[in-house]
Formats: sequence, C-alpha cells, structure tokens
Amino acid sequence: MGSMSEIPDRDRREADRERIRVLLRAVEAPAPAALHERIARLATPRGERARARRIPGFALAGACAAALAVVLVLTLSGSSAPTALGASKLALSHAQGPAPATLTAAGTTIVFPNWSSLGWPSSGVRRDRLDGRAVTTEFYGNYPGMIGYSIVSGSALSWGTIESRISRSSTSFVVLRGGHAQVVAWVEDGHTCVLASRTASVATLVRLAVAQDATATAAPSRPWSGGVASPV
Amino acid sequence: MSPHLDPDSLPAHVDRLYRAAWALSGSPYDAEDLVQETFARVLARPRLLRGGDELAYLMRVLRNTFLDSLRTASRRPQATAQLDDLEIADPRSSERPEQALEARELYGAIADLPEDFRLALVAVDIMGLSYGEAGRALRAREATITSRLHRARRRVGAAVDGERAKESGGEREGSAPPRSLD
Repeated sequence: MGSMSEIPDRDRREADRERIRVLLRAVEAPAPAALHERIARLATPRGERARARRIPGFALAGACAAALAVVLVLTLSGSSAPTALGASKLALSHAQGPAPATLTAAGTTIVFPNWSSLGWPSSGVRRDRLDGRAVTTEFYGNYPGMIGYSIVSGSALSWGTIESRISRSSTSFVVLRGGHAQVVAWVEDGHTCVLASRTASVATLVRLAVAQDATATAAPSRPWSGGVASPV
Repeated sequence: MSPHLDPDSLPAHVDRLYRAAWALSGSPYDAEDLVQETFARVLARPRLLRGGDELAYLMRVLRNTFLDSLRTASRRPQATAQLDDLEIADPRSSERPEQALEARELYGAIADLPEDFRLALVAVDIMGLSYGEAGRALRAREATITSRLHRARRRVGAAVDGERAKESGGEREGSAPPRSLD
C-alpha cells in the first residue's frame, strides 16, 4: 500500500504543479539592471570578434589597435592625472608571465593574496608603469572567469567616475563605472588597489577584497611580506 | 530557425536565467555570477544548435556551469561560508521587501532539494521547458523528469508550508526565535 501513496493521482499532481507555478509567479522578479548591462556588454563585442576571426589580418590589426589604445589611454591619462579607473585597464589586460608563489607589489610592501582556496587560483602577472608609477598586476582564474588585481605605487590616485561606495570591514570601497567591466578600488597603505573583471560581479570582487583584509588581520605580522619587491 | 545561436537574442533570456540560477544556488549573488559565467561560456565562441531551442541550450550550459561551480566550491575551505555571510547592499530587497523575503524562502526551498530534483523543477517550472526538452537538457529520460518533478514540487510545497507554519506559530506564541533570511 505504501507504493500506492508514492503514485499520486492526476488531480493531486495538477494541484502541486499549479501551486508551484503560483508561488513562482508571486516572486517573479527581473534580474538586477547591472546584470542586464553586463550581459549586454558581453554580447555586444561578440559580433566584432567573430568578424575579426574571419579576416585574420584584421584580427591582428585589431589586436595591435587595442594594444595601442591601452598605451595611448595610459599615456594620455599620464599626461594629466592617472586615475584608478585608468589603472583598471591594466587589471583587465593580459598576463605577461606566470605569477611567483608570493608577489609583492613593486614600490609597496603589499603582498598579493592567495585566493586559490577561494576558487580563484593565481594565473599570471604583469608589470607596467603609469605616469612614472610602478603598477603590479596579478591575475586570478582563467578565461572567461578572470579577475585582475592591480596595485599602483605612490600616493593614492583619484578614482575616476564613481558609481557607488561600499563599506566593509572598516574599508571603504568604491565601485567605478568601468564600461565593459566591474571595477572596485580602495586604498591600502596609502596605495591604490584595483580589482577588475569582465565576468565576476561587484559582490564577488568586494568579497575577495574583504577576504584579503581578513587574512591580513588574522596574521598581522604578514609572514609572507618578506618577499622581494618585484622590479618593474 | 537559424541553426546558430544568435548572440543578440540572448539578453532577452537574462531574467529567466537569473531566476533559474537563484533557485539552483539559493543565493541572488551567486545567481548573478552563475548567469554571467553562463553567458560568457555561451558567447566565447560560435555555437551550433542541434534540434533544440535557445532556452534548452542555455539550461544545459547553466546546469554545467552550476555543477562546475559546485565542484569548485567543494574544494574551498569553510572560510568561504563566512564570506557568503557578508551583507552586501541589495537594492532588490529595499524596493519590495516582502517579495524579496518570499523569493528567498521559495528559491531557498528549491535550492535545498536534491540536485536532480532541483534541476528538473528549474528546467520545467522556471525555465519553461517541456518535459522532453528538459530531459534532453538534463540528459535524463522524460519519464524520469516527470517523476523527479513531481517529487520536487511536493517537497517545495511542504517546505513552504513548514516555514509558514513556523512563522504563524511564532507570531501566536511570541516565543519562536527570529528566522534567518539566509
């Protein structure tokens, strides 16, 4: 008889189905506008990339143009005042080489965190100069889910266009309007830190930034900070 | 119908996919990441649709992305749970607090289902796939989907009833502990 109770009649099944549908309709909400914007941005350049693949010469020219654009933007911004938003372009670019086990940002004593245990293993590093300042960038994760973390030496930069502010663990984070990406920035030890990603959400970036902070708090002596500062 | 996935049509599915991701993960924040990762995968290269529509295809990629995220999460230490507890400002809850609460309850109840049941309910009741489409997307027989779906609906209904009974009991007696939203 027990098995009979496992097989509901059609009316009961219909009632269950209708009930779930009513419940789901009652809470039906659109996705956040920010997510819509991010997906739209992901979808838009897709066609451009496809066209570029069909004409390899154009692809090469496009890559060169993109690289030149980064250089120009950084140079131009360097001629006035560099911003954290400008530095985010480096965090959104690509690695130049593998990341060492521990990496200290050039010109600072800040050591990049190890987020492997949080699902974001280190995947590479690059070193640049922005208006004479050393910028060290470590990349986490792999395409398409990648995050870039740039630390700019020298005094704190101005932010750029601020979208919102978030305070967590006594640190004030700013969310910057990054065009095709999410950009979160803050100041640590007087230096500008920038986390940027085309796929990870602002919430994820803030969680990681706070996780780094929590690690630093848990180990105030920073035993890993004895690493050699990376030359630029 | 074009055999290729049209990138321009994908944004129209964001809302539905977001709700599906929320129900799968149980968290609106993880849902955002899940949806974005799903679209990033889909858009990474041209896709050819073989006899299925876009929604069924997106459901399949969402499922794979979700299962990958579970595998990644299983390698994370317990500290991750503490990260998830961080309170990030959620504009949705300030707009319609009652609906946000009910959504958390309902999607949370779905997220508590066993994985197979959860995927069946999400595919059919949230994504709107037919039983056959859901079976293809989830690589299961249609009869299996039917069975899982029924059990999933019953469990979710019972879970919501249980929550509401606890709430009303707590209100009457005034002794129930405050209920956590997460």
